Amino acid sequence: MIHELKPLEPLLQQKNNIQLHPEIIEILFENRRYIKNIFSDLNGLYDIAHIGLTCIDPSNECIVFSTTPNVEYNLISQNLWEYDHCFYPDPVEKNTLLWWDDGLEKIAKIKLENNQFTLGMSIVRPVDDFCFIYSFATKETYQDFRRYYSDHLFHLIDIGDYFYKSIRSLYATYNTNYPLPTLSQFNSKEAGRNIRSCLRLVKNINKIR
Amino acid sequence: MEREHFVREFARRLTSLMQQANLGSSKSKAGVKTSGLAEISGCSHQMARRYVLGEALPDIDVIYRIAKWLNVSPGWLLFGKEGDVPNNIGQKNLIQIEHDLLEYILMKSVVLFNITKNTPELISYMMDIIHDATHIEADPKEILKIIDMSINSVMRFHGINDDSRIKTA
Repeated sequence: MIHELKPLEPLLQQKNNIQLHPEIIEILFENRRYIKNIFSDLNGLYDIAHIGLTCIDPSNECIVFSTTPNVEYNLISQNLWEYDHCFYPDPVEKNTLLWWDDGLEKIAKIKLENNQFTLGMSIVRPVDDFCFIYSFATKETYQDFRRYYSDHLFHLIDIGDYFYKSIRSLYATYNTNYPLPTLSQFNSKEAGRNIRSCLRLVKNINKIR
Repeated sequence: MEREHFVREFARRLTSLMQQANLGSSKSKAGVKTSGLAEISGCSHQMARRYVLGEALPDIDVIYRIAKWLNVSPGWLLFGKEGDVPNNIGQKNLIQIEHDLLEYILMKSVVLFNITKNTPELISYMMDIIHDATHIEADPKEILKIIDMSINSVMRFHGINDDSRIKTA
């Protein structure tokens, strides 16, 4: 069964209720090598130097996996996470790139400057009652790299979907209350358009369909 | 007269650092852009201009902020000798870490060399840990805990890249 992507309104209504998992810091660092290992399969694609995945379950409990966990740690420890795209879905259309330097200057410093990233972006991906936020950053510099990444939006979503699929079993060990969405529930990235995926993993899903 | 010389030498060091930080400007009299300096210093553009022209000396707390901004010690910015620019200037990837903290990371990481032959990847991972340890804003005890968790994450069950695939195959 194919599930349509849900609009963000329900999440926005619950915005103030998002809670961090009580062991979110431990989860970040205990699994960082595993996350890095997965990232090694993606490293270099579109010059991405960082990937992060925020998982918000139907009870609004939030867990984050990241290849650069100092970012999330500093945001959490300084209570800046509530103002950040990577933790809170923004009132925007689905599948839109949210630029890291559009937020608070202090957050941009923690995320970009501290890690020598030249550009960072996040994508909100609601699936059923879950919400996933894919985050990417690069250290490269292009003349018009916002447009470059905007042009590759769906490829970035594919990468995020692949990343989610890769850590789904790990996420399941921390979230036993809800059945986690499978990749088959991550259907089209834009309603009404048949976007051919760039990763083999998603191609296989298309074959199954 | 002595104070004037002191203020001029401060300005000379300040402008030299700003030019090395790509803040030079051919249009301004002092040869540097003062907008960033004014912002960091919390002062007007006119006052920032006086700093770089050697007409005024910032308060000590402002000197600290400027020194941090330009990645030099406040002492050098105030008293360094003309032309004696620290050798770390211009090196974007400079790492500043306390001796004891680096020693702790290295000691804890020794065990990892026994579980992988992928030394380049392991070194890269250790560099990640060092980077985090120097950028996480937390008390020393918390940072040590994070270092421990990061190193344990290798030993926990995943290893380094190929090791993990061998183990989980």
